[in-house]
Amino acid sequence: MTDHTARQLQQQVQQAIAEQQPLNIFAGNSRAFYGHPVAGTPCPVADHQGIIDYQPAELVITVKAGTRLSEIEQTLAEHNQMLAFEPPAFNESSTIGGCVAAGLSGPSRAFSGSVRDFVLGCRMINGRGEIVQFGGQVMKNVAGYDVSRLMAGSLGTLGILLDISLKVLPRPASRLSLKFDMEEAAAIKSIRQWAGQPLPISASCIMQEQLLIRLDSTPSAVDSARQKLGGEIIDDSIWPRLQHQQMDFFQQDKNLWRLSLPPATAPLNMPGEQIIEWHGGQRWIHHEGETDIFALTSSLGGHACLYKTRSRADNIFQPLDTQLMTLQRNTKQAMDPMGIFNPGRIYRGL
Amino acid sequence: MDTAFHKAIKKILPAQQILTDEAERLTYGYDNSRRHALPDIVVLPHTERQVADIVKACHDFKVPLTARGRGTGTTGATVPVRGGLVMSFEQMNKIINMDAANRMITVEPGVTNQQVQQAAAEHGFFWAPDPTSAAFCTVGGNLAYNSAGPRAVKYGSCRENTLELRAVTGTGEIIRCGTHTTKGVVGYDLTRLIIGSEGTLAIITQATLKLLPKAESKYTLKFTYNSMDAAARAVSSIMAQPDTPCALEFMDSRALQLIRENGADISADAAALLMVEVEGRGSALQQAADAVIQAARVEGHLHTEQARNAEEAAQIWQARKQLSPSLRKIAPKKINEDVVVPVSHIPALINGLNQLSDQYRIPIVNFGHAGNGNIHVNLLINPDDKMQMASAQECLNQVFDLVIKLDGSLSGEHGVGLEKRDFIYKELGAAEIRLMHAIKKQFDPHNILNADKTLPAL
Repeated sequence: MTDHTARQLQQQVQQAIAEQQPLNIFAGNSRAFYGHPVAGTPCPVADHQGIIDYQPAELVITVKAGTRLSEIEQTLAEHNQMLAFEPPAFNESSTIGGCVAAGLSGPSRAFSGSVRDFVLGCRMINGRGEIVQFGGQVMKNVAGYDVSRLMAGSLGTLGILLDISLKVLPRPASRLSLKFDMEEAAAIKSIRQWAGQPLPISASCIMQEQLLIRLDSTPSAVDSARQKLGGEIIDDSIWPRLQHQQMDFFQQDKNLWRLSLPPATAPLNMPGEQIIEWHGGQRWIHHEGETDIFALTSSLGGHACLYKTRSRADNIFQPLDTQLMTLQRNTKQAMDPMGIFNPGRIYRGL
Repeated sequence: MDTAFHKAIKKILPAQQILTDEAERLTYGYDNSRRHALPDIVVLPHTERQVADIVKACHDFKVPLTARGRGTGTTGATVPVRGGLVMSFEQMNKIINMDAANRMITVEPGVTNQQVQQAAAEHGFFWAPDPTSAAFCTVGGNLAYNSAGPRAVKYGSCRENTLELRAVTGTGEIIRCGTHTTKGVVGYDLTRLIIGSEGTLAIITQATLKLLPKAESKYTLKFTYNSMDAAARAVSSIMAQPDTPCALEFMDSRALQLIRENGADISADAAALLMVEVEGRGSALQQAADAVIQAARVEGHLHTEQARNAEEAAQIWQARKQLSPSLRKIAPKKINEDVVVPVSHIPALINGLNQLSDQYRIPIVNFGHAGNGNIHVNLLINPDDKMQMASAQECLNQVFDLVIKLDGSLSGEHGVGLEKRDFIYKELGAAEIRLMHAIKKQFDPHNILNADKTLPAL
């Protein structure tokens, strides 16, 4: 296997270390809006692309970080398989490296798990300019610390992802989407009750006084759930638009907050339209008022992120207490002692 | 032991929470490996504050600290090889909050896995990790090892089923990582880093666990095959159909021979056996079972048996349950490894293990979680036979070489501890191990937390 793109990236990292110059790592740049802007030498990884190995019988795919999500999903679909965490792809250039680095998952998150749950292993360039490898292509691995999962969601601040092995799953045999007209409080209560039962509810969305759910399973399990739940059958087109955030709600020129809350949390008394996903666990709101969203979510046992902002913000992600922040900085120090990888993308000093 | 250190501990804990008699300390030096080391002092904290103060004292006096639950681990990870202080969580065993509305339970680390399952079951839930020792092992131990069990094939291990941890780092700082939400990560995912780190990064003082709704009912299926190759093909075929089973266990021909000798009704031509559980309700359950039966009928399939009620299911699992007593009868102190290989490489692994068994004249019996390639490799040795023990070590070395050659991993759920620590370099290079040491140093600058475990020296 030719690995010249990995070597080129390694050389760039080694040069950055020698010159103590930070790097701004990106591939498709489709998630540039997410997190603080980075001042650094551009470090594009999109050329490091391609599917390295795909074994449908093993339910594992290994890809280079610059591989486009669309290419991976098409390849998997040919074998009736999928990335079960339904990663958002913000445009055609969205890559798997950006997807893992951002740690964003789609509508099925509460049912199937997060992108992090599906990362089996990775090869990366560390802060010493070495190419190192963690985890592997097997489903379970407890040899040493789980560094590959640490990379997921770290927004490129701990190293450059080169290759990633992911667990994939078969596509569901049957799918049905249902709509229920109900107010937000009733919808939260209903989805909470249903999520506590062994029903194949793979996605849910509460918006505009409607509860939408998706059932994924065998035909008889879907049919059985439908009989139990009732509701009006709708087409499935809502889910990809929600996954890829193509709905008008996500396109508005306003600050967009993403709140992670205990799923049973009562409706938030906030003005404006909201979208609630993940059986109540993820709530999207447009908010530009005085309310301190970080304090609000913290008081409710959750956390928040200023997902899209129209201007520079002091805090994008939930502020951490001193002890945890110190430990996060220490973890960064262990992985990237010179502080060259995407400095400040998540927090100052990371 | 430094008397000043003793005095510091006595300021933190009342006398009844400190054990200093040798006879009392003795029982805290074992786990389920063949190792033992005597700790200098044993403490039984009741609160997180006490844990933090003790860790701080150990940090200040540079005293080694080994945390333990019930000592059911098999790798020596809780054996205090440097003496020092053992912190037992047997008295931090409360369920703090059962939150049915948000499908989670918050517990202290000394709560057993079974207590969690019972509390969850009252609300129609379960916690996915289900190690064989569930009745005895603690949640703290489960998290330290990232333990799993048969259900991991569908629901994952501790890392996928833990929402929040409270823990104390090697400097005595209390941290909280993760949150009570579906998406539980702010900044770096330290929760998963701590889970599986075998008490080397931080001491877990409280865990919030994700609960899942229990299925209404289950079907258990048993399939036999004329070769390991055929069984492995069936595993791939079963895993490729959309409804993942909640257990997919296997036994090799030597395991089958053993249970036959103990009266199990397994035909003589069977060289491998799969046990599969599917779950659901009503007609959907039968459809799921039918899909598995169809997928399992690959070339080389011999026989199918389906249990339709709890009694019949128990009969099928009886075969599996007979295996462990049979193994213990032959070799009470067997070496039990748990390696992982890609499913399609299971036949090559079993063939290689049979060759090693013949070469070293050590019976090797294999069974385990076929759906995720996690195989329990049992070397039936007699530890009193020094020559056999010496050849067992060499044989084990070859077993691990074989696993790495087959793109596998040295451990899927038992962990590394001391038993596998010196083999880890086969799987991780020097740069990887150096980076892990760098992480450890940031959590535990004086290297007091379970030093010598998990990571080989640089």
